[in-house]
Amino acid sequence: MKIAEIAGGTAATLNVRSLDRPLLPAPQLEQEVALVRSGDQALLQMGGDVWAVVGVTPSDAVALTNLVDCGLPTIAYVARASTDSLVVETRRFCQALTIPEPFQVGVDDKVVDELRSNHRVSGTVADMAQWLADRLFLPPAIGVPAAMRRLVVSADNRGRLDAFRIYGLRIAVDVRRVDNKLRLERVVRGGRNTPARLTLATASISLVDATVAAELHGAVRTTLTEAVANGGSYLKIWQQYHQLEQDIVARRAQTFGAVKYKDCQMQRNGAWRFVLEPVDDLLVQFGPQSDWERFELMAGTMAPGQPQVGAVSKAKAKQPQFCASIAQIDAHKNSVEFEPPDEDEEQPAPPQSGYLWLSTSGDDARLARRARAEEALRTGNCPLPQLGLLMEGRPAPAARRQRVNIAGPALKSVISAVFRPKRPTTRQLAAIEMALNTPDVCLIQGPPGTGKTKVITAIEQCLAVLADEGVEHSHRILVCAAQHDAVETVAKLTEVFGLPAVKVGRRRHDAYAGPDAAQIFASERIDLLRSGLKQPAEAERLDRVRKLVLACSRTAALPAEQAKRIREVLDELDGLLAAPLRDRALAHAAELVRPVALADPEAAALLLQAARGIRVEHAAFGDDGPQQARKALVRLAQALTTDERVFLERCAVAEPEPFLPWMAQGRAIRDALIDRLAPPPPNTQPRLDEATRSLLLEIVDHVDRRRAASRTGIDATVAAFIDDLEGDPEGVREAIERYTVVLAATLQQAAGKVMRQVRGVDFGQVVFESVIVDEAARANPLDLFIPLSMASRRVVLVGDHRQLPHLLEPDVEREMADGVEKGTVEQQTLRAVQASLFERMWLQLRALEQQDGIARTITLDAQFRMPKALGEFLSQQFYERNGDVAIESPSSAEQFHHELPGYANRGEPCAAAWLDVPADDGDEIRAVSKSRPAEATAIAREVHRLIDLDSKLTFGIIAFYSDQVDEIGRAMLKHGLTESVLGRRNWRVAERWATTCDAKGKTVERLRIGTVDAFQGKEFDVVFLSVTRSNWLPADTEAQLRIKYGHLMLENRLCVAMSRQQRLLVVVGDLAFVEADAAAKPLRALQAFVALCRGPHATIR
Amino acid sequence: MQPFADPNRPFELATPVLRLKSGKDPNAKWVLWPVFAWRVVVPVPKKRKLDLFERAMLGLARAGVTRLTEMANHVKISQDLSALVVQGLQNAALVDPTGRPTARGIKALEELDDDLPDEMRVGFVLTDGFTGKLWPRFLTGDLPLADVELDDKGRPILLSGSPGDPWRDPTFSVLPGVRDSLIRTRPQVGDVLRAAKRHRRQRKLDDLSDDDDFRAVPQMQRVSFIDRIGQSYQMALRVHRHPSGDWMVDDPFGHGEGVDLRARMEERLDKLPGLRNWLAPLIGSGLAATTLGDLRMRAAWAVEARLTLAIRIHADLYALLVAMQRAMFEAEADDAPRDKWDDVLVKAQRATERVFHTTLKQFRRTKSPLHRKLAQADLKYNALQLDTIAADLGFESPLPNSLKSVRRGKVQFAEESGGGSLRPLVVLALLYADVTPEHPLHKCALMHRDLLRRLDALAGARDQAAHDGVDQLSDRVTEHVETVYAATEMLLPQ
Repeated sequence: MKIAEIAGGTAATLNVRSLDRPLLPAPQLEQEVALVRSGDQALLQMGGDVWAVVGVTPSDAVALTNLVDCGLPTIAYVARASTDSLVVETRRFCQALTIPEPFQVGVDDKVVDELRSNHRVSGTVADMAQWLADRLFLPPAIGVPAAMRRLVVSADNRGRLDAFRIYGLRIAVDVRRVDNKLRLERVVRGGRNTPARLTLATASISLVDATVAAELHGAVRTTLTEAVANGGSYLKIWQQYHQLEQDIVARRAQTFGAVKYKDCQMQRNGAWRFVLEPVDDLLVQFGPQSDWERFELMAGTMAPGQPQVGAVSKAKAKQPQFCASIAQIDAHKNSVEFEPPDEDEEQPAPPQSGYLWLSTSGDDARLARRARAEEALRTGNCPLPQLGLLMEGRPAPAARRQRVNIAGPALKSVISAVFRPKRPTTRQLAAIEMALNTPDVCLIQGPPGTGKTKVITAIEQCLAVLADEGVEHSHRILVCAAQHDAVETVAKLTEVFGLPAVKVGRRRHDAYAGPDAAQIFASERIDLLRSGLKQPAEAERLDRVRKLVLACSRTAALPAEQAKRIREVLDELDGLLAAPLRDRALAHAAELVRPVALADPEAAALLLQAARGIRVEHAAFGDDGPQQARKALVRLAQALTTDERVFLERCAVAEPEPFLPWMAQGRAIRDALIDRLAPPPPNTQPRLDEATRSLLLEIVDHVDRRRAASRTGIDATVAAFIDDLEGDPEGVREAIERYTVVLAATLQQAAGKVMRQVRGVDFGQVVFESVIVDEAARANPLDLFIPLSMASRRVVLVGDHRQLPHLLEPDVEREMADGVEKGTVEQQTLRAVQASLFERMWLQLRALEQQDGIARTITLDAQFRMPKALGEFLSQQFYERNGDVAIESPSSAEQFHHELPGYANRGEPCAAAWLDVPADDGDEIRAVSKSRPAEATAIAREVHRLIDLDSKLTFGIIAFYSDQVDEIGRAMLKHGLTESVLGRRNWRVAERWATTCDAKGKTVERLRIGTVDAFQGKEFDVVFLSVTRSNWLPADTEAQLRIKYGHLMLENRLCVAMSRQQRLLVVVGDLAFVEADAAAKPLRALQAFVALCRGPHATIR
Repeated sequence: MQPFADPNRPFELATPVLRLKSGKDPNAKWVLWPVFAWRVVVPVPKKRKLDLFERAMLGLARAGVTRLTEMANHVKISQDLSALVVQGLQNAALVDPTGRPTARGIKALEELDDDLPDEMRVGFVLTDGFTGKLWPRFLTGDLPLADVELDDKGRPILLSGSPGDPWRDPTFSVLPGVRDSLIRTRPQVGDVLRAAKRHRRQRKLDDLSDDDDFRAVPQMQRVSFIDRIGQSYQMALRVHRHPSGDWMVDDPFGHGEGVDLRARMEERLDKLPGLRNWLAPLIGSGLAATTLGDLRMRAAWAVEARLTLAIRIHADLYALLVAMQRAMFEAEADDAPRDKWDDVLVKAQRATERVFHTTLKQFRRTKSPLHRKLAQADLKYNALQLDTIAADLGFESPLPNSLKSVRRGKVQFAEESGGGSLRPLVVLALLYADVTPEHPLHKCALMHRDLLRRLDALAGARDQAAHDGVDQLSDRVTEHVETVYAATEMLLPQ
C-alpha cells in the first residue's frame, strides 16, 4: 500500500513554506515527509534533506505547531508542491507500537477459500499472501530498516496483539491469536468504519502459509531446490530450451527486419492492403515466413531498431498497434494484403506510410506463460510442488487421504452410466480408481481404441460427485490438450451435472466453428420441454402473441400480410380471447383483404358482367335493353341501391322507343355500379392504418392483462426459460460457463486472459482442483507445465508415448543438435528434450513405485476399435515388443463386418489388405517432402470405387508426407472426390463427400485426406495408407537407410497410421520395395503387415 | 402482386419486390433475387442481473415449487445443477433458507418481467431462396417494398423518381425452377446476432452514421422470431459495369460490391439462359453466344488437339492450359473488354510456370543445390555463365538481359520451394540441363532455338499486364500462347 492510500487516523492538511531556502530538489507528489520539532523550529524532513518550515497562513501555523508538539505518531506526505511551499496531508494516530522481533501471521485454508471466492484472488498461498501484503502494509518509515513495515491496527490500549484488525487499501483483516500463533481470521471488503482510536504499528511482520499442506510443501520445496541445483536437472534443461526459443524468436524478428511501405488502404472487408516501397526480392524476403498464417506483422511510423521481445510488448501495451497476419503477397504489384480482423476484434488503423516488421507479441505471450509455469514448477511455487520433484525423478511425500472406493454406491452407478451399454474393463476401472486416489499425478496410457475418452468422462463425473475438497462445484476440473481438435473431442463427450464442458478460448481466424456445447444444450432442453405438450403452454402462447402484435403495430405491411398476421394472432389465442374482440378482429382481417366484401371471384365477375350489360344508349337499348335490365335485377339483387333498382325496374318494363327521356341518368347509375363491383387495384404499398393499429393495441392490452394474472405461475416461468434458451444464446453460454464443473482449453489457453475472466481471477495464478490432460504425450513439456502448475489436488495425464511424439520447435531442436556437434550442448540434454514429458514420467514413476509403493501409472489393455487380427498385430508390433502389456481385442467380429467388393477372403470380410503399386508404375518424387503419383492415382481410383457403396462408411486416407497428401488430393479431383478451391492447398474434399451420418445418426466426417499428424485421435471405417516410398537408393549405412526409408522407420508414426481403421486397413505401396531383404530391420512392422495380409483375414491385390 | 403465394411455389413474377436503393442508370441491369424475410423482435440489451437458471429457479420458487427434484424436473435440468443454483440464490439473499423468494428476489424477478414494449425493435433478416443461408445483413424499419408495375408479360418494372413521370427499370426475376430445392429453414438466433454484428461492422467500415438513420442496426443481445415460415420476396439487385471492365453486383444495402452475390449469380448463369441473355450487355455474351461450360469444353478440345490426350496425365497443368485457352476464346469475342487479353497472359504465365515446376520435380535429385552456381552479387559473372550454358545447349545466345540478370535469391527460392516465378524457373532449368544430359531442354534447343527468348518475352508481357497503361496487342498475346504450347510440348514427357 502506498503512503497516500493509508486508511484511518485523523486527517489534516497543512500548507507550509520553507524559511530559508527553496524546496529543491522539487518534492514528488505522494512522497513521504516527516515533521518534527527542533528547538523552536518545525523541521520538514524529506529524503536526506531538512528544511525549517512555517505555516503559510496563521491557521496552518497553529496546526503545524499542534502536530509537531503533540507527540503522536503521524504519517505525512506531499499532496501538492512548488519550490517555495508544500501542501502536506497528515494522518495522526492515537498510539505507536513497535515490535522489534519478527512476527508471523498465518494464512490458512479458510482464508484461502475466502480470497478465491470473494476477492477473485487465486494461485498459491504465497501469491495470496503477496496480494494481502500489497494491500495491508505500508513501506518502512524514513531511516528505518526495510524489514520494519508499518500497519494501521486497532489494538487495545496496552498494545497487546491478541485480537486486532489491520486496515488496508479497500480491505481490512481480522487477526487472532490461536494456540499461541497469530492467524488471519477473515478478510473483509472496505473496513471503512474506521474507529477513531487506531495504532500505527511498526513491525517486522510477514504473512505465512498456515494451510494443512504447508508443512508438506515446505519440505518438498527444500528438496526440490536441491534437486534443481544439481547438474542434469530436467527442469533446468527446459529452462535452457526456453531460452533458445526466446533467442530464435528475437533473431527471426531481427532477420526479417523492417519493410518500408508507402501507402496503405483499408478494403471493404476491413482488411488492410499495404503498397511497399520497391523491394528487390519481395518473395525472398517473405519466403522464410512461408507459413504465413503463423506470423503476424506490425505496422508503425518508426522501424524498430532491433526488435526485442520485451520491448515490442511494452510498446504495444502503451498504445495498440496494427498487427495482423498476411493473407496475400502480390510480388508484381509489390503489395501485401492482410487478413481482415475477426468479428469482435478492434484493429487500430496503421499509419498511412511507415514500416512493417515481424510481430513477436504472440510469441511473447506464449513464452511468458511457459516461463511462469516452468518457474512455478522449478521453485515449487505451485499448488502441487511435489510435481517438480517427480519430474526430477525424486520420490515425493504424499499427503494421507481417505481412499475413494469406486465400488461404493455413489460412484458405481455413475461409472456404469458412462460406459452403458457396455461395461468398463478391469483396467478402465483401475485407471479411474487410480486417478481418483492419486496423491499428486497419475498417468494413463491409452493405446488406440482402448476407450480413454470414456475413462476421462468417468473420472470427471466421479470427481464432481465426490466434491472432496469442499469447495464450489463450478470450474473444479480443467480438461486440456495440446491442440484444439483434441480439446473439442474430449469436451464434446463431457457432461457433468447435466452440463457440458465449456471450451474456453477459440481457434484463430475462426469466428464460427459449428454449434457449440451451449447451443446443443439449449436445443436439447427446448425439445424436452416441448415434447410432452400438445400445444405450447398458455404463457408461451401469450408471450408469442404479444411479440407478434408488437411487431405488427410497429411496422407497416401490405394489407394482406396484416390480415394474415391478425389471423395468426387469433389462431394462437384460440380460446384465450373474448368472443366480441375476436369477431371484430376477424372482420377487420377480412376487410383488409377485400374491402368491397365480395364473395368468390367467379361470382364477382358475373356481377360485373351483368352491370356492364345494362344498356344506357338509345340504340343499344333498342336491341335488348329490357332483357339486360331484367338480368341485372336478378343477378345484382343484393348489390343494388334503391335508385339503381328503380332505374332497372323502369328499364325492364319499358318499350323500346326512339327516345326515352329518363335514359340520360342511366350512364351515371351504371358507371357507379361498375366502379363499386370492380375489384380494387392491388395495394402494393405497406401501410398501417389507424383501425388496424388500435385493434392490435386492444389485443395487446388483453394479452398483457392475462399475462399479469398468470406471470407468477409455473407455466410462465417455464415459458420464460424457453424464451431465454431460444433467444439469448450468449446468455445460455454465460450461464453454462458459470456453473459448469469442467472447463476445457488448449494447454496455452488454459493460462490465457479469457480463462482468467471465466474463472473470475484478477490476481494470482488460476487454480483447478483437478487437471486432466488428454493426448499428453503429444504436448511440448513447456506447454504441459502450464496446466501442471495449476492443479491443486491432482493431475491426470492421459496419452500414449507409443504414438506420435511431442511437438518441439524445429528450429530449437536443430540448434540443440548443432550444439551437440559443437560440444556446447550435452547429448543427454538433447535426448531428454526429445523424449516427451509423459514418457519420462512414465518411466520414472514406474521406477518410483518400487520405492514408495504408490502406483501412478496404468495401461488400458483392451481395444474395441478394430478387428481382432489388426488389434493383435498392433499389440505385438508396437506394444509387446517394447515391454508393454498385451492389448486384448474382446469385440466380436460382427461389429467390424463390411461388404466391400475385392476385400474378402474365402467369403469373409478382410480386416487388412495390401494394394500393390509396383515400381514400374512410377518411382517416388523426392523433394523436401516426398510424393508418388502412381500411388495417389491408385488410391483415388479405389476410393472412388468403394465410397458410394455404403453411404454410412467413412474413409481416411493417410500419407506420411504432405506432398503425397496433395498428390492424392489432386488425383481425386478427376473423380469428383475433391474439388478445386483457391488457397494454399488448391483442393478440398468435395462437399458431397465431406460428411455423412453414422449408425447412431450423428454427423461424422466421411472422407479425410491428411498426414499422420492430422489423424491422431480420429477413426474411420476404412483407412488407406500410402507408403509413398519406392526408390533405388542404396541402403548400406544407417544414414543411407534413413534417406531411403524416411518416415517409414518411425514406429510411433506407423503405430498411429495403422490404428485408425474400424473395419479395414488398406496399405498402398510398392510391395517389392517393402519386402526387400534390406528392409527387414528398418521396415519390420510393415513386413509383418505384409505377412498378415498373406494370412486368412486379409488379401494382397 | 400476391404477397403470399402457393407454399410449394413461393416465388413467382408477382412476388413482392424489395428495393433499398434506386437511381437512374440506363446501363445498369436489375435482377430480382429470391429471398425469405423473417421478422424478428429485438429487446434493448440489458445487463443480465440473473442468469437463466437463476431466473427459472427463482420463478419456480415464486410459484411455490421449492423441492429441488420438482424444480429440476420442471425445466429439465439435473438436480445437482438446480441445487447449485438455489444455493447461489440463497447466498445472494434472493431466496430464504426455506426456499421461498425474499422481497429482493421478487423485485429482481419483476424487473426482468417488465419488458416494456416501447423498448423493443422490430426488424428482418433475409435468407437466400436457394441456399437458405442467412444474408449478413439486418433490416430495420418497414420492409422496403418497391413501386412496381407489370409489363405485358407480367414481369415487374421498378418505378422510381417522380410519380408523374417515373423512371422505369425493367427487371429479370431469378425464379427457382422445379429442380431447385428451396431451403426455408428458420435461421438460428446465434446466426442472426452474428449477421447483425457483421452488418453493424460493415456500416462502421463504410462510415455510415447511426444517428437519425432508421436503417441503423441496433445493438442486440437476444432475438425472438415472429415468423414460423419466412415470407417470400424478390430482392432487387443492381448489376452494372465495374470501372475495370468486369461486371459487378451491388450490395443492395449500399455496402459496395456484393462479391458473394456475384458468385451466386454466376452459378445461375449457366442454368438460366434468360439471365445470361438479360445480362449480356454487361457480361459480354448473349443467349446465342456460347455458355461458360461450352467455352470450357471448346478450350479443352483445343488444348487436347494441340498437345494430344496425353496432356491429361498432368491434371493440374491441364486445368491451367484449359483456363488459358478459355480466356483466349473470351478475349477473342467481339464484345470482350480489352483487359481480357491481360487475363490470357496471366494464365499463360501460370501454365508455363507449372510446366517448369513439373520438370523441376523430376530432376530435383541432384544433391548439391544448383543455385549456388550463381554468384550472389556478381551479375556479370552470372550473365556470362548463363549465356555459355544456353549456347552449349544450342539456344540463341546471348540471352535477354532480363533473363540472365535474375538474382540468385529468386533462383534459390525456386529450387528450395519448388515454386517461384517464370524467369527464375527458366534459369534453374538451364542450370539443371547443364548437369543433366537427359534434361528436355537439350532436345528443346534443337526444335526451338528461340524458346528462352520467347519465354522471357512472355514474362515481360505478363509484368506489363499487371501494371497500368499498357494495352496488350492480340497478335502478340497469341504468340505468347504459342510459346506456352511449345514449352509444354518440349519439356514434358507425354
